[in-house]
Amino acid sequence: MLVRETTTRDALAVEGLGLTIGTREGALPLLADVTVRVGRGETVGLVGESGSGKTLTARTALGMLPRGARATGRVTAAGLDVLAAGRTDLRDLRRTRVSMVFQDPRAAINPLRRVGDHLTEGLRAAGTPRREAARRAVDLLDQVGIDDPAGAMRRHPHQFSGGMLQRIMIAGALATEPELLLADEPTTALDVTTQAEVVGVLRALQRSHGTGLLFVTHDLDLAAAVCDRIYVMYAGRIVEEADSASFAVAPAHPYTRALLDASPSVHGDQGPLRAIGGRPRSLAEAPSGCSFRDRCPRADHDCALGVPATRPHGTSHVACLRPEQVKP
Amino acid sequence: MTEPVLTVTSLVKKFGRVTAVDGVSFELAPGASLGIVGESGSGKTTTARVLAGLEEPTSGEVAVAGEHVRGRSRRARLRRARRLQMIFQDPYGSFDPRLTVAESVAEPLRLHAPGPAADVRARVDALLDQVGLSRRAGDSRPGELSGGQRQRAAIARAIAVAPRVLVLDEAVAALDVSVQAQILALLDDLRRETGISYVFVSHDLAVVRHATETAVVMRHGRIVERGPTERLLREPAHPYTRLLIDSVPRPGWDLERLARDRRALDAL
Repeated sequence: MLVRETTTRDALAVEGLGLTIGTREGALPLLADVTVRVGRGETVGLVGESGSGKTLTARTALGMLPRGARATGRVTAAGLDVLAAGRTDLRDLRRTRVSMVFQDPRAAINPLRRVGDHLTEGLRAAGTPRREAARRAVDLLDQVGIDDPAGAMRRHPHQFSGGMLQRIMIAGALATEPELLLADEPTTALDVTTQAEVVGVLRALQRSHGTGLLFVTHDLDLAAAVCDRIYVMYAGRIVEEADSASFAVAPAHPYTRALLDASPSVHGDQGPLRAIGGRPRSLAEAPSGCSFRDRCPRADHDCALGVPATRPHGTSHVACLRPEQVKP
Repeated sequence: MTEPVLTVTSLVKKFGRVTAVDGVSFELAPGASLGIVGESGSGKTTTARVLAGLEEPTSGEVAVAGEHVRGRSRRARLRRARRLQMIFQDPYGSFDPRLTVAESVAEPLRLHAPGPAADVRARVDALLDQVGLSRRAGDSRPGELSGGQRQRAAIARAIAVAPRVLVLDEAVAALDVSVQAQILALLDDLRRETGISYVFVSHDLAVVRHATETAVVMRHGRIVERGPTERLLREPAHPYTRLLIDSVPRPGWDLERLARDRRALDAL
């Protein structure tokens, strides 16, 4: 019974997550009713503009809440109830079962330590003997396309380019064979050709290890190219969940449609860009009812009455009163 | 054929033994927009900085409105700045945090076209209005504005002295998609209204496709391909241009072929 449960459970289940932070003026809401699921071996995109709460959501999966924040709802990562877990359980979770890759690899690696020490740290903490850990690390470096992997183990981070260092971070993140990998804008700082290579490495490793991947990005094209399913966030809420095949061709939420209309594209015909008025909002600044209504071309009086419930529409789930009016 | 507003001839810039820009030449017609596309280390930003006078070229010529610009004297810098202005990715670093946005926009006016305070104020109001900033935004400090508003303020300050050429170095790269589209629309409008020319430096092919008519592709300091932007993107002739285009994510992205193409190119 227990065995069956562990093989079918999700790598990550965020259910009805709310986050508020206390300030002198009172409670400031950051996230509201966020539900995100990542199955084992699945790649799930979390897209949105600045202030949408995508990074906060990803960090919550590791129990990394902003100082003074209060969380409600439920977050289960690799089987652990994160919001209820103590420090020891969380440390164990971060060391071995859930890993994270950040935008800037140089800010996330100790510049004074050798690459090899960084890569074997998690394995050693999990009790792998030194020699075996080193052998696994060299093997991983080879898999992410680092030349002379054994030599690379003895070098320091500054001896690698940004793209190479991000490959090393991915190798390190997957060294302990985690159930879940959180990647927060992992290729945003890289050149386009390097981005393509790093994404290729990330996908190949994730597939072969069966890791669930939560891919946080502002880049809609990248999310559509990489992910199986995509969540769109706006002002601290999920406004749409879609499979990536239908995401770009049949958006269900006016915000998703507006984002696609505002994005210039390289492939296909070039239509005119349609800018959305105003700027992205955080949850604290958002209007009552639907957060997007002050920028939405289809909003009317009804949209102010309450936050629209999430409901199925086509192959998507959407928090909008009238998704049928969104043109494909 | 109209006289080009910007002529760059055999530009070379060396830093010690490293050649960052290696024999770059191009022309820009009045009212036109030229893209400079490339990755980090391609020399595109160094080229932009030489155009703006932030770096002295090792050799080669830059002529703005038919006049060769060189030298670092105060007079030479002012002459250049009247004709050519530059906009950076992060306008925050180029504003004095203690001045209001309106005061910052007034600065180039005082420097280049001194006049009565009331005239300057009226011109600043007109400029802020032209870039879509409210009076209230004008009275704010740069730290109180959003990224999009700051970039609007940078544009207002750059066009204050009515330059002929605007060099935009990754000017929309740090903005959210919805705000980026607003700034691109503003740049379109300005060009149509004033006949200003753009040198649009960017790593983002989609943005360059939208904002320019012609483009050059740079790699290792050299221009490897040039032509009408739409033609470059649809029928790239150089394998590096093709690799750049294929690297832009899309459904059915063939990552293995990309990796092969890149290795083949690096081996050349």
